[in-house]
Amino acid sequence: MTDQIDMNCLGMKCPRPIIEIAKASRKLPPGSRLKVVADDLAFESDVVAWADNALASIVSLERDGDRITVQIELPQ
Amino acid sequence: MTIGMLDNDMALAEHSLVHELEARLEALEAEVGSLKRQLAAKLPRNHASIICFSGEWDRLFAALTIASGALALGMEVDMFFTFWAVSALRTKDEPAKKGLSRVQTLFSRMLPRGFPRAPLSKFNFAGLGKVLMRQVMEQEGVDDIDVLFEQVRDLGANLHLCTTSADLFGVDCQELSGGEAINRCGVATFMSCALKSKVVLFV
Repeated sequence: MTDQIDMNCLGMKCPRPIIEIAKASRKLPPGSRLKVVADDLAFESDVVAWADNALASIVSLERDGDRITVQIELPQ
Repeated sequence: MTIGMLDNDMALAEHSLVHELEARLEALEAEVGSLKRQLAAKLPRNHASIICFSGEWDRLFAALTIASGALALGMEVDMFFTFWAVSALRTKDEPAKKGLSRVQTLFSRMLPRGFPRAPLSKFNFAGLGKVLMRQVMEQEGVDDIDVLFEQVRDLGANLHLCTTSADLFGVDCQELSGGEAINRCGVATFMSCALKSKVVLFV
């Protein structure tokens, strides 16, 4: 069973949300899932860029007004 | 033990060896495939990333000229507008943004709107220097900065706005020249483009 971690990045502005994701991904085992919720305008673009570079996959991305909820699966 | 049984054992052993080799080959091919993908993701491509940090006319002009050169050479170009350069993307008739603090309102009012209104970095003399500069440019047949910006857009540059800078200066991310075509982003987007780029510039 893969680990799933929930992260609340509400109220954080760039680069903080990405820093938090990077820190978490360094600690977690490969294949783990990260569920992040953020309300920074920059977040949607940045998280896709981060995942692309980290070879992680975006499992889902939902927009609800200002809030973006994204599920990331870290690479194996 | 009969010859027949010996043959059978050998056939079985051979079969299991082939099977094992096939499995290992498959695993190796998967690993090579994965490594190739990782490598491709890291190699720089025919791509230029330009950060526009300065809000000065001459620097913005230089950045746009470089971008147009790169685009003309068939490169993919990403331009990121952050800090003072954010004001270059504003429209002249930008409506006042609501919910700003006093300092943000001050910044928003003090910063120029759009490329043509950016000040020169030297000899601006309250705008006179720029008038003279543009006179010389017209004489020499050099395109003015807003024309250059249109050309860069038409040639397909990807434009990005640093949302954090925009918020600091009270600039409305929704009201920009270029509107929807400008990607609202942060530093990770820039870095990701920079990693793929052969040319990375800070202007």
